Amino acid sequence: MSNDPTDTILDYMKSLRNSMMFGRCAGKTTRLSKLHQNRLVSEETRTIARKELYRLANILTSALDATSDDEDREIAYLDFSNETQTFLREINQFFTDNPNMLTETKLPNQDITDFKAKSQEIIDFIQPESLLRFEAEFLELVKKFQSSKNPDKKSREKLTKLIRGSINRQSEYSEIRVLLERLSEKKKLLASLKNEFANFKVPLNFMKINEKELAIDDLSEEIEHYQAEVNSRMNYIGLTTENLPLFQYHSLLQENATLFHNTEDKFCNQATYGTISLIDNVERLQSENGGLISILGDPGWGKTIQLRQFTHEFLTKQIQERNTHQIPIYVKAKTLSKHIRNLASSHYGFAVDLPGGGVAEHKGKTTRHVGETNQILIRAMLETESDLSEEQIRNLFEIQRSVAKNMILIVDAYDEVPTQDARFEVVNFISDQVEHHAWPVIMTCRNSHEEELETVFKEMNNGVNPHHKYKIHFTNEELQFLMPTKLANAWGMNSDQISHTVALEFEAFKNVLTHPLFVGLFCMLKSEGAELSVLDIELDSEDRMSIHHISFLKQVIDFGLRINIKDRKSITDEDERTIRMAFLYIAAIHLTMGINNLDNILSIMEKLHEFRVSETQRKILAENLGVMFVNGEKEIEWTHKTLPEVAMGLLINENSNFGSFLINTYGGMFGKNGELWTECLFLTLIENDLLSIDTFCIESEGKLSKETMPTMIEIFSAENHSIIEKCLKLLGITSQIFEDAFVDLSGIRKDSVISHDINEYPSVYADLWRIKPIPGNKFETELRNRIGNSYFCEMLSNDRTFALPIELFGTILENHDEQGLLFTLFDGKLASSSLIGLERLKWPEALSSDISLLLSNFSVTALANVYFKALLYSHDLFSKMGKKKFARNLRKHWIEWSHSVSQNPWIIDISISDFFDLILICMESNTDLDLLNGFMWGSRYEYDTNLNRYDLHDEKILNDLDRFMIQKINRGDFAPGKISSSWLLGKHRVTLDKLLESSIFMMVNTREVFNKNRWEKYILPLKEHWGIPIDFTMKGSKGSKFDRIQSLNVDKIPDGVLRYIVGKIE
Amino acid sequence: MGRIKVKRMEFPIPKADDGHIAGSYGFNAGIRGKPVWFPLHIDQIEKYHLITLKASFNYKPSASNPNEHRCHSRVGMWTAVKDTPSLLSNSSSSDSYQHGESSEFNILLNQWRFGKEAQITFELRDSPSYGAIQIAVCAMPWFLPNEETKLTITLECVEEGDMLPFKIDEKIISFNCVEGSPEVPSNMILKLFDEFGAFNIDGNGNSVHPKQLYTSEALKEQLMQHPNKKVDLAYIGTDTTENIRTLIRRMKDDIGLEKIKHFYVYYKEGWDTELLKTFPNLKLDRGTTSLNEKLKLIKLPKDGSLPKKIASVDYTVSTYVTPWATADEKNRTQYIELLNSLMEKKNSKLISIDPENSSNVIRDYCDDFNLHTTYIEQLDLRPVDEIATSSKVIDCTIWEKKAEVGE
Repeated sequence: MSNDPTDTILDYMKSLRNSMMFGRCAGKTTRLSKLHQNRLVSEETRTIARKELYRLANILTSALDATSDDEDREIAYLDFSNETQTFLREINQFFTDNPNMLTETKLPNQDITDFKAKSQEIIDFIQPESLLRFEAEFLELVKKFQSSKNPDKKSREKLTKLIRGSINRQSEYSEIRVLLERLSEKKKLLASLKNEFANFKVPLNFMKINEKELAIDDLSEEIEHYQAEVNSRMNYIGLTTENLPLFQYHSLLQENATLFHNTEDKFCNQATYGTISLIDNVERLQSENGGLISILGDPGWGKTIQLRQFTHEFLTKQIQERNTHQIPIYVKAKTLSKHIRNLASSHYGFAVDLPGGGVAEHKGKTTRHVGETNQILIRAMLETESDLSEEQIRNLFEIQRSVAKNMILIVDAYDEVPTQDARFEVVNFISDQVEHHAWPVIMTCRNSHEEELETVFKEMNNGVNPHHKYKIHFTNEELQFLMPTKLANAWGMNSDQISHTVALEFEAFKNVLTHPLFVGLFCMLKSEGAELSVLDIELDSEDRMSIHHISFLKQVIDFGLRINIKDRKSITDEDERTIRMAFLYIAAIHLTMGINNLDNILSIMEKLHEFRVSETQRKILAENLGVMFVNGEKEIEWTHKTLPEVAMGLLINENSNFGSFLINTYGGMFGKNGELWTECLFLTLIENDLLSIDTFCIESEGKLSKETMPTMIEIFSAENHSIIEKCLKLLGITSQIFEDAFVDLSGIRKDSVISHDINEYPSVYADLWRIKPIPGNKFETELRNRIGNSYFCEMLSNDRTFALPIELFGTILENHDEQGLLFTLFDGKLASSSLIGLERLKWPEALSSDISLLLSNFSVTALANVYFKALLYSHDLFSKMGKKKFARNLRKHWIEWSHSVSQNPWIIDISISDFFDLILICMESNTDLDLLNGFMWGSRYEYDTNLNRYDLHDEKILNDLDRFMIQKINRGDFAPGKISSSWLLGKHRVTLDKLLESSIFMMVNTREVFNKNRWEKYILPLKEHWGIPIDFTMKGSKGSKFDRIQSLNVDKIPDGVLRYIVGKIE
Repeated sequence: MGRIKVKRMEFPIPKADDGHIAGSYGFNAGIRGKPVWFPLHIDQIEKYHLITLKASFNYKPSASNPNEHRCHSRVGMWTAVKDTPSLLSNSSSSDSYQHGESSEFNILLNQWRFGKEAQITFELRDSPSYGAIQIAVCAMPWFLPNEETKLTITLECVEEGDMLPFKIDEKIISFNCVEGSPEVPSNMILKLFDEFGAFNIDGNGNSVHPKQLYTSEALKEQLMQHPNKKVDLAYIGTDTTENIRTLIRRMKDDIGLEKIKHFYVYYKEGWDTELLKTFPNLKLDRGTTSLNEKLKLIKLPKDGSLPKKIASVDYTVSTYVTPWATADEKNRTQYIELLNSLMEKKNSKLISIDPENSSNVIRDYCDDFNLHTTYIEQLDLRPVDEIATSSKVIDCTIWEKKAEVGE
């Protein structure tokens, strides 16, 4: 072993370089240096580059300073250097590739639109063909001006147009005039000089020569030169007017070389993304006084790989140059933290201001002397990189003098440090090293911890050293083309097939292939020959979801978990299955309960689902699983937001108990009120139904099946109408899908029918129903057919079925014959439960006279709801006469209902503003008003019972209500005569109170207002009349509650309303 | 004015046996053609001091055209390069090698590239030069159904007294996929290599590919570092012997034959059959190589078994063996077991030389282009050095067995 410190350092660096050479990516051994290297970007760099670009564009677009006497200005633009031309092409490409760039960043003192427009002109302008064409045209015109004293109007206009076309300045005409005047002056001067020369009027006052002959010769020469100058000037004026940008730019190149210190490519990268060079930044920090660089990104963005690639590249360069003045130390933050806790012997404590407010009392440990620091680093290094030799590292630290000042500390995964205190300790340690040894420190950190790291470093370091933050960045094109090719090469594989497959299938998966980790997993799946779903159906997805997406994520969960678990040799197949199932539970519990803490989730899993994991399994779950990350505080993070949704879908599909648990606990598989419904979850659940259709279509040769969609039935049977409609919409089903539909409900009793061959419905006759779907492509037709099969099979088998929107049946329900589907459903007492939107349908007129059939389908209150909704949404259930009859009949039944002891209260599921509308509509007809008031009264309809406390029935309020609302109602023929609030108070008091309540509620909660017309016609005028500011709200964030109360006009507002507001304002 | 001279501008190319890209309905969306060789020379170069010849398939897939499979086309340029140190340039950069046929030009090794875009750069040692440069081009075009593929060859030169290159000539070669069109016979390739002097085993021989130069440089560097006075060396030969001939030439010149105790050459049966058929006098043996008793030629049995006696060695050189080692399971097992035996010695090292990436593989086409995963996962090796990190053509990694626990 050599005693030369240089050899010791180089040996260490070689060892570290070797351990950085390979890693694992998507479960495969990977040569990290061959992977695509993501760029690091900073907003600051981008802003600077854009300002530079702005400056450039400004020069390019600026007007010619007509009075400029800068005679050195270059005019021969065809002599532009290659560099200039390349740069102009780059700028051209830059604007073409980044059409939105200018709108993204506000540039100083610049009208963005104008800038963009001008920039576009420049792009067109700097095309070489344009330049040549332009030059020829322009020179010709200038010649014309030179030769002719009075250039024709056409030429003048053309010249003007040409100039306007290229520069687009407002003051073009005036400038042209100035230019022509100057042109004329020059000509005069030229004539005068020629005259002087012709008459030998020498010496000229500006010449200091004694000898006459010599003077004449010189003058001749001077005049020749001047003539050339004038000609040149003429061209110059013309050309500059046109081509100023290029000339000034050319001068700029000469004056300001800094723009080209970097290559055009680098400059464009800076302006587009804000790309920085990590090596340059580290070197700069080292030459200054050290500082922190954090590399930020989301899970799966390749932060660790970025860090290892950098370390490898940096070391390779150092080794090649035999440079021992920059020695990287590579540690994991978690390991570093552990050894700080174990080995540091000094204690400290202070208060740390947390991001977003609050103060944390922080107590931690720090090193007492450099010996402790070294021990911490040595142990952390050895634990982080197991291939390193202890002897080698100890040797390195023994040559202390050269090592301590030359170190570059590289720390991976700040966010994985277990607790906040421990993370603060790490930051404190880093800050100490930066301060004492001027180290550059590079640390990766998830975006989630960015603020914390920034705040804490600033506090610990007192702002002494800089903290640069760089984000990982990649483009879609890189994800689609570069990453797969390079990944295959990094695996030592031929890249042709993989890059082809990914490029081709990217479109189908682009929703999910959003970061390097998933692109890597996708390549791995493809290289392993994994079959992803071939089902390519068109969905009406707002989230651009596809079956491919689901299929891929399912594979990601299985492969991703397997390859990460497989690395651990002591894991059995049983362990693997348990971990997978636990993973699904974690996702489902996280989604349904909104819990993020892994320990809490596992406790709930045990308690509610009786599913346990061993300590070893728990430990594995807490480690990097590739698909789910657990940070230092055991908070889980997902590599894609839809991953837990797919995992939950898998759990429901694989474990019927969990599905039942959801239905029993929340009333449906999508949680309470369907709030967990997502496109991804629904598609995961339904995928098997859809795949079965696809398989059938391939084999069936265009026939239709009698099969059903079991999962869809299960979902739809448990969900509310809006969820069913959302699911159908996603499948592209929003309008009529059946041309004909028939069902025979005569033998609906289950025991009276004989079995047929459908497994799910062993007791249903195949000829008891008939569906004729509206034809689409094979898949669509069979999907429609199966929805119908499911609907009727369920009906025949269970005496009930799930509900489908009436629009799906379209014209079929217009048939009011007794054999028609609508009558059949009414007759079978199934209409109300199996059709969504009955209020939007025209009903058989006969049902208005005798509503007993309707009442066998609906309860009185449900029937009333249909009636009121039809009123509200202006649908006619019956003819005018039929409607009257129906209302009267309903009222009769209401009386019975209201006297019934076991009556269910009447509830209508509409918003408060719709309720307001409903009251106003009902007030147009005495029958409707009577009916509405009756139902409200009979059910002691929930309204603000405290309303009376505020004494809202005072005269002013009632008069204002009359003036601003009630008197505006058009009662037409149905209820002749006017109504007033005092009449309502006596006869329909509940309605009046509800009107008052909803008016005041809408007045002070503007967000609840949906019907703009009603708002403007009724509420707003009253609000203004009562002196309540238009933007006043009870819960608004605009000002404190005292400020808001002060904004009320107490002279105008009725006492009762003021008391109501003061009593309820938040 | 420099000129590119090519005899033919159009080539019918037979479809390769495998490696095509499957499209819908069982048709090939991307068709791989068989590699084609053609000669090219550059003349009228007397004005220039730096000459770069580029050959590129200018096809790029995009989001709107992901089916542009012609981007997988590859090309390489072969020429004769002196590999012996006595003929290395003293005046140029360290990666400058003298051209094999003329002392007027040097080749810049790190500028020699293969792939979708190939490049070869010559420095003129003493200009003006009135000579011409001979180059062999091997192209493996990919085709879209019923579409031709074009190779653009450009000549860029830097004039005496100037610093920036100018494009001075360009040729476009067209390839068409024509079933049944003739292939370039392998003996023609061997003849071409022979013309370049690739099969000589004395100081007059030439290398024709960067892998040969890097292999010998890597071995030289390793031997210089080795503490023992004498080392045993093994070479696994699966090519047409041009690579080992470079090594032998270098051993005799500057690697230091005296440091080599034994040189075991493990060759696959039939490795030189084609060569000997064409050139019967080129048989490698103790006498012809002048390595005498140091050289031990050991045949690898065809049945996948190992030779009876395998001596473990200090270094094993394994250059471009992947196509052979991954051809079938038998070869793979034989290769793994052979390496296991060769590396039994403590601190025994493997020098692996492979293409830097798959687009650098022009003559052979296979699924894997290196065996790094096998070395790490199956042979339990770890990388201990990497050579020629700046090369865009080859990857040279030095491996050794992982230390046993407690060692």
